[in-house]
Amino acid sequence: MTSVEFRLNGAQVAFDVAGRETLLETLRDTAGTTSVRYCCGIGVCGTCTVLLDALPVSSCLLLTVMVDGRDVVTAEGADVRHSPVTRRVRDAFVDAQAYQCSYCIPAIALTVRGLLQQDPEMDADELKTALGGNLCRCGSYPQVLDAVRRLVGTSGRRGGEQDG
Amino acid sequence: MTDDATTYPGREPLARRMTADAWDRVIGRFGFAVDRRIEGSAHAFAVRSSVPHGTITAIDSNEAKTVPGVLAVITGPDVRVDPSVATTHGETRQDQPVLAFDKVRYVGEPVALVVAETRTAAEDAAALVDVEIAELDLVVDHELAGQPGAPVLHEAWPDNECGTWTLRHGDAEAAMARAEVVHRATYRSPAANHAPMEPHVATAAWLPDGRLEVWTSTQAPYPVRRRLAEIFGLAEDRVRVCVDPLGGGFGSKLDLRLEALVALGSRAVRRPVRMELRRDEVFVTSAKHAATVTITTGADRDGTLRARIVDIVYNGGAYALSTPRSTRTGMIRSPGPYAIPDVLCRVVGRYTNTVPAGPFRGAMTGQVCWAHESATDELAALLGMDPLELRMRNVLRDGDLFATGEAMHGMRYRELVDAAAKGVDWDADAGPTRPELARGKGMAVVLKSTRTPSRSEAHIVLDATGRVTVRTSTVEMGQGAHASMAQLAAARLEMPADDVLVSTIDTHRTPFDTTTSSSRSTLTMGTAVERAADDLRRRIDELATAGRPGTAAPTHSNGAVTVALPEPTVLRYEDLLAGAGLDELVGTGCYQSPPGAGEMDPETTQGMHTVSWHQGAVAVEVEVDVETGRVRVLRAHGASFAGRAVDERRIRKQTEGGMIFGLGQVLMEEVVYDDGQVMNPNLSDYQIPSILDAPERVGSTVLTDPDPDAHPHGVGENTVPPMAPAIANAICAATGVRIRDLPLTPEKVLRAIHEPAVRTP
Amino acid sequence: MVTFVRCATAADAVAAVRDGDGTAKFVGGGTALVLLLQMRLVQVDTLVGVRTIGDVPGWSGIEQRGNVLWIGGGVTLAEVAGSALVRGYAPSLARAASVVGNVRVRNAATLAGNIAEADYASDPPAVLVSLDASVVVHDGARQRAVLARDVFTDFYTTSLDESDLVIGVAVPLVDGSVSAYRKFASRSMEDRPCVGVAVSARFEDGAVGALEVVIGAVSGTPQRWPEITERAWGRRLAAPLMATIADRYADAVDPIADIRGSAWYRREMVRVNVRRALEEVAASADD
Ligand SMILES: Cc1cc2nc3c(=O)[nH]c(=O)nc-3n(C[C@H](O)[C@H](O)[C@H](O)COP(=O)(O)OP(=O)(O)OC[C@H]3O[C@@H](n4cnc5c(N)ncnc54)[C@H](O)[C@@H]3O)c2cc1C
Ligand code: FES
Ligand code: FES
Repeated sequence: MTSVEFRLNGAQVAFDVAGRETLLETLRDTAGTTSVRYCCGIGVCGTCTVLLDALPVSSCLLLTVMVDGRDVVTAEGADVRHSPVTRRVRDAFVDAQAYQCSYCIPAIALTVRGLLQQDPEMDADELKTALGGNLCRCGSYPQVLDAVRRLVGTSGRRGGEQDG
Repeated sequence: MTDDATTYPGREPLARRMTADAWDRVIGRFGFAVDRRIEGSAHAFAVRSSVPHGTITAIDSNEAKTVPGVLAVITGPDVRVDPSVATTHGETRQDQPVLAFDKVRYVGEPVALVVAETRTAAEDAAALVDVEIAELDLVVDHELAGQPGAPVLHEAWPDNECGTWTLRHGDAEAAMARAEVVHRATYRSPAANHAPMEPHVATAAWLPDGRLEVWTSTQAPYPVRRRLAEIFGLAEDRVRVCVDPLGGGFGSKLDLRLEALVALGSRAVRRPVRMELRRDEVFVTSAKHAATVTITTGADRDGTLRARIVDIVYNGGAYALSTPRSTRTGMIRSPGPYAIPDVLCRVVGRYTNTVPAGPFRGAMTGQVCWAHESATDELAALLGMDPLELRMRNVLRDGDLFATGEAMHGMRYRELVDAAAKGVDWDADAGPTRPELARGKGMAVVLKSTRTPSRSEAHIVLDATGRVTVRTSTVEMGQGAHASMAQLAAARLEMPADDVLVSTIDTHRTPFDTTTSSSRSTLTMGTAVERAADDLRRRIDELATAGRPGTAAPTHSNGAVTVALPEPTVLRYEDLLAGAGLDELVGTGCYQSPPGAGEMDPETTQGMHTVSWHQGAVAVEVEVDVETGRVRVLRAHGASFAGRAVDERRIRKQTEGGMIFGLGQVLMEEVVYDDGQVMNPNLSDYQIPSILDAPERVGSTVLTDPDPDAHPHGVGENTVPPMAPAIANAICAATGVRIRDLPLTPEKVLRAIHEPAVRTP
Repeated sequence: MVTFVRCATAADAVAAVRDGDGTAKFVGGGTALVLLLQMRLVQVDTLVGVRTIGDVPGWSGIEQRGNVLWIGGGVTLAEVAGSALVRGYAPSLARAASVVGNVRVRNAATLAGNIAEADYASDPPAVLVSLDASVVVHDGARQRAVLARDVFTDFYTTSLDESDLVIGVAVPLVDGSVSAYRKFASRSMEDRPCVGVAVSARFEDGAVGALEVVIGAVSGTPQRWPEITERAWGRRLAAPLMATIADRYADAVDPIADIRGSAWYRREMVRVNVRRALEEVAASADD
């Protein structure tokens, strides 16, 4: 067992983990984070997305020991920051009813949020391309796109609001 | 484990209803079956056969038992000599062991179960269990499985037979001989995986008094209860099955899956035991039936269909599951939604050394719709007719006889075809495009039935705080069933849907339901819920007017009644209960298909097949890169008949989502076998559509029945089966090539373009 | 048991891998290695984290060094794809990096890790070869540069030592050169390449001054046939010439068959995509 410390949704946390344990396993089995989900286990589907130092990554492809000292944010934890982008992303997904079973959805919303925080001017087409790696077996893609369009409109690159 | 505090650690026993859950769903707080953690659980991992067909000669688990944390290793032979466990089980045939003991019949079949303190320990130990298997000849292909001398999977079924049926309506052979134009072709579709995003998961716990409790990701709580009772020799009410919402099912979670395994494990270690599948295990746990369908159609020169003969072989995989029954369902749907005077259909299911096959969204229909709708376009080409016109001329209308001999009613196909066509601007010319890109449009229709006979029961509970809760065993798996149930109950009680709760499933609390499948819930459970709401309303009225005979029926609004006493007086539900000294008031409702429904003549399959026919149509526009064979679906429009619509937005999501789901099986999905091994059991090698593969424009038309007493119709599957033929028809319109073998990979398309022989005249 | 060590210097990292004697490995983003660990396909006791290396100039940067574009060993594929320098000087590399896997993979994965992994179904290797790039490695004592075309030797195999740390990639900047990369995926848009075609060219007075065409994902290593492309030198890159080169390449490849396509199909895709990549380059030269 190795002890690992990192920031999880703004709070400093510490876990004793086995060397081969993935961040996905730590978050689900020990930290009780339900928004981070297993599906493919190989980086393809995106249901295990977290923001690592603000960038979306697959937690199934990260060993927990690798995130020592870093900053991890999950979909439910986004509340902590009360950021306007987070709020707007959530509202857009709720308004568009962008879910069926919703297993994939928190990760998609978190990805959109991470992308917009990185580049507030991303347009709907760019966001769609970037969401290519978030699979949804229910086929909620039209509603996800609706949510994205509610967020950034349908025109090309635009001036966006900065995250607070 | 008996009281709620341990059964539902740290959470409310009742889930809030779905639309109010939107926020939780988006931020990830919505609880799924995988989120259910029972305190003190140990973890199980299955040792699976790496041999497709063979005889188990020895199992050595000594090394596995030395792995720290391992609590037990249970093997097939252990179970076999255990008199308290049935040797074999099955929905239709008792052909499947809980753990294989004498033979293994597919790669991935559980042979032993390791239980350990952690999942990692169980997984590590499972790799150390040494299973010796003497290999036998194997058969993967369902057509070969039916040939003389083919390897036999089950001695009791020496022809590998797994469901044989015939439908005879009129004299198709004679009519075919008279037909002016005859078209005949064979269409194949491979095994596919449902690939629900959430893997299968289950936890079992035995109580000290010998009762069994199971939390599982099933679409069929009551059948699972019955099967567990049978396997472990228990009375049904000594088995309790609880189900949380699922992250997708699509049919893969219908039959008994992990439940008996975790129950075995739990009994061995006297603790709750949990099992969550790895993705590669999901691939060997369920599958769509591969199938070969030969369809012969006779028609007049003017396009009037005269006769159809369909021969179907389904690949059932290694165990029967529902195949002996569902092959008949597939056969009945195989002539398509057409008025054809003379029809003959023959179906056979075959055992093979592949993953046991079960229902797959649009169960058994994708395979036959692929055939009849491709054939319709091919026939249109033979006749020199517009395929749309050919459909319009022949689709079922009210009063037409279907192949089962039933007179059809409520047929809306002409409108559906029209709506789908309009959705893709059928008659408009494809816009200008680059020379290597060819565009075309295609269309397909589908006829589906819902499971009959069937029964659904619902309870609606009004408690002392005035809260109204629907108790239903319908599983929420993304289709929005719970939201629909809340809405239906709320409408009858004239209260906001937001104020109606829907319970999670617990066979100790929520009443009987056949299954959550075949798009049946809105009709069957919806009816039960409405009846339960009416019953509750009546009971409330009785309380409100008790002792005042002759009082007019009260009006309801927002959880209160208004009674004329003679002054209009408002009484809140909770006050009514308090006044009567009641803790709760329960309304009950039941839907039961009418007597005789679903009973068919065993020789000819004539009779009343179903209580509800589902009608759908899909039209697409594709763009084919004729140099690479790559197909892009530019537009897809689905049209579905919803009867009395409960919620149009949810119907649209099902209709549009169904097309995107279906697109995968058309363009890229196939479980690839090599020598009995699944070659692509992961989501990198088995790909499903991404947002970039989805059509740029996806639309839907929802046809409804304005009659307030009309039934709601299932819409969850109507647009899945037609996707394949619609796309194949569009590819043919664009390029002139006809492919009869799914999936329509770029390689197949390009090969066909290169080989003009495959072109239609 | 797997332990993770975080290294502050290149020498430490190299020493850690060397001391591990086959059981220690560098880890960059971990996107390839963690997967292999999970599938129990590698036996590793020590993961040597290289993200934190601080003593290699330009370790996490992309910079122009004279007539060379430098991409550090800690640079992720997302950074390569987003870099204005790479987009300007080596658009084919920016393109290839931008189509690797998905957003999450690109955010974590390093270009160095992609090279060291040497997966045949990859995008960047063919581009690096076409740009005549060098892979700069540190062996604990010295640095050396190895031509990308000499790095990839077989499926998942490179000419580098296990303890050779990739500290960066050097892409020569040639005046007036243009480049393009086409990734052809045969299944989902999200797939790894079925065929990748990297082209780099220089034009002089409308004629080809230099031309490189490199094919990825069809065999164990990136494939090039200078004897075919050299025939184009001095000629205008017109349609018949492009078609000829494409046909010759299609004849020359010896493609593998896998789940993304048969040998026959890959050959055809080489034909089509070489031609299309050449057309792209010709068009960008006209601009
Ligand atoms: C879902 C998914 C999709 C993908 N799709 C594509 C695709 O479409 N195209 C494509 O090209 N690739 C694709 N890849 C592969 C991806 O590009 C590689 O996994 C990634 O580039 C490896 O980089 P890394 O930093 O994560 O390497 P790691 O996993 O950290 O390491 C990989 C290997 O490189 C070694 N290594 C790492 N850093 C160094 C260094 N500095 N010096 C020497 N050796 C080192 C490690 O020891 C290990 O052997 C995909 C991967 C995934 C998971
Ligand atoms: S589970 Fe991590 S990407 Fe699919
Ligand atoms: S909503 Fe079910 S997987 Fe996306």
